[in-house]
Amino acid sequence: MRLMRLAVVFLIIVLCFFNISYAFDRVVILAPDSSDIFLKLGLESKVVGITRHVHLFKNAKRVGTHLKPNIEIIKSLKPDLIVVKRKKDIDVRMFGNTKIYTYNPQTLDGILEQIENISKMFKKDRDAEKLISKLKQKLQLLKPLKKHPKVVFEVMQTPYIAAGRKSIVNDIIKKAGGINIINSNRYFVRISNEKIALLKPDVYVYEVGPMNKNPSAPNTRALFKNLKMKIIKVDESKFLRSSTVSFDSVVYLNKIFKEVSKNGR
Amino acid sequence: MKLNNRISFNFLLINLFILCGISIFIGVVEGSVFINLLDMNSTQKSIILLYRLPRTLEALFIGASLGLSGSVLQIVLKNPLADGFTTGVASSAAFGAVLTICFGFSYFFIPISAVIFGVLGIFAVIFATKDTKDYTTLILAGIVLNIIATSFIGFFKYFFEESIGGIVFWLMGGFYNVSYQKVFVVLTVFVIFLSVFFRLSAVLDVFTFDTLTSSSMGINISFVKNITYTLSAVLVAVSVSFSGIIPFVGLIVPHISRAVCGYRSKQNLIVSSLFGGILAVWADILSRTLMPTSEELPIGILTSIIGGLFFFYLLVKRKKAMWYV
Repeated sequence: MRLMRLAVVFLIIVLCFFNISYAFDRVVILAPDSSDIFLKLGLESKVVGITRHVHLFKNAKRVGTHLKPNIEIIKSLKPDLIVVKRKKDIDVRMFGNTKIYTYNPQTLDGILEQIENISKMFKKDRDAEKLISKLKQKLQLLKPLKKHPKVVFEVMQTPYIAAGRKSIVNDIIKKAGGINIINSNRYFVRISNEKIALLKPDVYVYEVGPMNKNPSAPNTRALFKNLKMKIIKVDESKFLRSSTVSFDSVVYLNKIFKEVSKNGR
Repeated sequence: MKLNNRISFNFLLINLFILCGISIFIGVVEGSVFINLLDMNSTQKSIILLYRLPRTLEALFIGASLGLSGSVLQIVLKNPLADGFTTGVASSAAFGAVLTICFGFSYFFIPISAVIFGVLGIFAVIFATKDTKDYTTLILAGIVLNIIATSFIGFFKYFFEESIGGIVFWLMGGFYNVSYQKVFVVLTVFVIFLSVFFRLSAVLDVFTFDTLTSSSMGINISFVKNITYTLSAVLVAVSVSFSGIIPFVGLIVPHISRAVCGYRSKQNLIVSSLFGGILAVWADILSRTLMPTSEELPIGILTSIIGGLFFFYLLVKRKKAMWYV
C-alpha cells in the first residue's frame, strides 16, 4: 500500500515536469490572420494544414480557403486543433474530438490576448511573453500628436467600401493618433464617394491587395482630385489582417500622421 | 387602338425631351448628400460638376444605347424577347470584364476587355448560325453563349473569392468611376450607331413583313440581318463595358416604344433611345438615394424590379398584343 502511494506521488511529480502540449500536435489554420502568430511562437512544425493564400508553412498541406475549406483534406490530416475565424466557417459536427478555436481579434489588445491564449495551448508562455513585450515596445515608440488627423481607409474602390469602427484598421488608426471618419459600428461600410468628399479627410489611406486589386490613385478620381489630403497607398496584408504586423502598421501611420499634424492640414 | 393614332409623334417627342431634361436636372440635384445649388462651396461644386453631371449623362447615353440596340434586335430577329442578353453579347462582355477584375488589371482596361469579349461573342454566334436563315437559331445560339459565359463567370467568382465583392457589384451594373472622357466616348458611339440605324430604318421596316415578302422586295435580308445584328450587339458590348449589366432596359423599352408609336422603325429608334435614357437616369437616381445609409444600390437590381413589374403588367394587360407589329 505504501509502495502504491509512493508510486502515485512519483507519477504526479513526473507529470508536473513534463510538457503536456502533445494535446495539440496537428493544427489546421483556417484563420489566415493567426498564421504569423504560430510562426513567431515557433509552432511551424505543428501546422499541418493551411489556407490557399498563406505561404508561411512549407510542409503544411493546402486545405482550400477560409470561406470554402476542403473538409476531406482537413479530415485526412487528422487535426487535433482547427483555428477558424468564425465558428460557422466549418461544420463542427464533422470534427467531434477536435478543438475548434476562434481567432478574430479586431483590436491590438485583442491580438495580444490571442497570443497569450495560443501560447497557453502549446505551453509557449515564455515565447509569448517575449513576443508581447516586443510588440508593446513598438507602441512605446509612438509620438504624440498635436492635432489628430481625420482619416478614411478605402477597402475597395468599386463598390466603394471603407473601414468601419469594428475593423482592426480602426484601432490601428486610433492607436496611431488619427480619427476614423467613418462613424459606423461595422467592419466594412459601403458609403457614397460624395459623403467622403464632404467629410474632407486629412489623410486618405487606400489598400492594394486581393480585395482591391488595382485601384486608381484617389487624386485622379473626379471627386477627390480637388481635396487637400495626404494620400497613402498600403498593402492589404499589413492593415486588414489582425496579426503582429498590425503593430508595425501603427508605427508607420503614426509617422505619417505626425508629419500631417506638423504641416497643419 | 395604338397611341400614335391619338397623339402626334412630334408632340410625343417634345414631351420626351422635356422629361429627359427634367430627369437630368433631378439626377444632378439629387444624391446621397444634400446640396443647395444656390449656395455651394468648392467641394459641393465638384460633386455636382465632376461627379453627378457626368454620371447622369453617362446613364442617359448608356440607357439610350441599350434601348436603341434592343429595338433594332427585336426588329431584325423578329422576336419580342431579343435584347443584349438573349443574344449572349452582354454576358460575354461581362466575362471579359470579370477576367480583368480577377487578374488585377487597372479599371481602365475593363471596358476594353469587355468590348473585345463582347465582339468575340458576336462572332461566335454568327459563326455557329452561318448556314441557317432561321431567326430562332440565332436566339438559341445567343442563349447558349449566355449560359457558357455565365458558367465561366461563376468559375472565376468561385476561384477568386477575394474579388467576389467587386465582381458581383460590377455584374449588377452601375455608373461608377465617371469622367467626361467616358461620357464623350459613350455619346460618340451612340450618335454614330443611331445615325447608321437611322439610314437603315427603311430597310428595317421591311423586316416587319414575313421573310418571303421582304425577300421579294429585292433586299438581301440575310446580309442586312447580319450587319444590323452585329452593329447592335457591338453597341450592347460597349454599353456593358462601361456600366456592367443593366438588365431589362433593352428588352422593355422597345415594347413601350412600339405601344406608343407603332411599328415604324425611324420613330421607334428615337423613342426607344429616349425612353431607355430616361429609364436609366431614373434607375441611377434611385440607386443613389434609396438607401438611408448613403450606400449605393447596384442599378441592375432596380432596373430588374422596375422592368420586371412593368413587363408583368404588360403581359397581363396586353396579352393579346405583346408583339405590336
